[in-house]
Amino acid sequence: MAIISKEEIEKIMGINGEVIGASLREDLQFILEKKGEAGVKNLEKEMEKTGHPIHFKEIKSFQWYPLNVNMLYLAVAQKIFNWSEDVFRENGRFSARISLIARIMMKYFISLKRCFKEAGNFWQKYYTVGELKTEELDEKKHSAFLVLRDFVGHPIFCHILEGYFWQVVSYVAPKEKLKVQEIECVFKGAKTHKFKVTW
Amino acid sequence: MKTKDTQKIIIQQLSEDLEDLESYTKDLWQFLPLPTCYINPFHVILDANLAAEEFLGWSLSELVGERIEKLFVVKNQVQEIYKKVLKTEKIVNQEGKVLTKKNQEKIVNISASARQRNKNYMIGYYLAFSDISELKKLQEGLEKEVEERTKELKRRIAELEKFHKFAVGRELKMRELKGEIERLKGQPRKE
Repeated sequence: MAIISKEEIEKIMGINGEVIGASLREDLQFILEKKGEAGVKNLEKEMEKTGHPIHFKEIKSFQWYPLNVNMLYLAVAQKIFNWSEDVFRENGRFSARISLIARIMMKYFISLKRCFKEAGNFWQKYYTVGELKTEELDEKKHSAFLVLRDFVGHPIFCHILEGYFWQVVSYVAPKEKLKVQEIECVFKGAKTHKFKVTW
Repeated sequence: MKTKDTQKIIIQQLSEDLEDLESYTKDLWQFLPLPTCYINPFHVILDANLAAEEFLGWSLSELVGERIEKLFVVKNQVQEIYKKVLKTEKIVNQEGKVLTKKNQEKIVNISASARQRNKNYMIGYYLAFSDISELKKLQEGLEKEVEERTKELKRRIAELEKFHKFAVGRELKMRELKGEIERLKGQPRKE
């Protein structure tokens, strides 16, 4: 029997869109770092039980994969590893640090303005659905909002995004006071995912 | 429909080409025996190769996102390097000291090279460290030895000078005495 309910699996599998393989490989590295080979095998075994198997080592960086499988293994990982929200934030930060996509985008990590301006471009390199935009960037007040439209995802994924955004912004802003917090969420009744960034 | 299929094939081919390029870049970057980091204009480390991980003792995920000052013993050397790279685009073998994860100081020769966007403006720079700690130790050892030998030589010279002074003084005294004897021999005896 699968570790998560049939209803939840069905709900997650209803998510549309695709994700680039590089993103899944980042998650694989994080699981390896945290749980080793045994953790990856455990996750693959549990994924098989859900009826949606995944073989992490076969994933190619520049191939597109179903986004719902990505969300499903995150939900499964949360259950089997008993990971907290903070661990998923750490997952996001880790991903951004080793990310191949971030390396492609390095040319934009030269100023705050440029970095925030390219948020949408950044998103498109990862996902075929959703639109990420920067709103109200105020360099004097040290704040900005990142708004993600037309994207559902999974509540766990919101924490991964908090971590990922934190890491990327830390390349162009002092990280001592840097905070990224989701203030509006589709899973809490909002129309978009909205992240407040302060530094 | 045919166009869609053709597009799909092209996308597939491009994806495979990107995979190859990724693998090639990764292999080359990891092969480089010189510890190398890539830094953005905010002095934040954005990438590091395997040699840098081994030399500095931090893993890639520990290095990325950290300020490069963290690695330097003299923190403002980073500004110096950055200004030079901005001006000349390149630095070759500038001596410096870096800190490893184990807090060991290493003497290095630093080389840097600017990375530019469309040859218009700098978007970051590469920093490479060549470990010369052993060479420096050897050099310092040799310098110490030379210094000690010079000291010894000076001491010997001083001794010789002393001996020379003593010997010459003795010789002069002998001559004086000989002269005195000759002088006394030439004098008539008193009855």
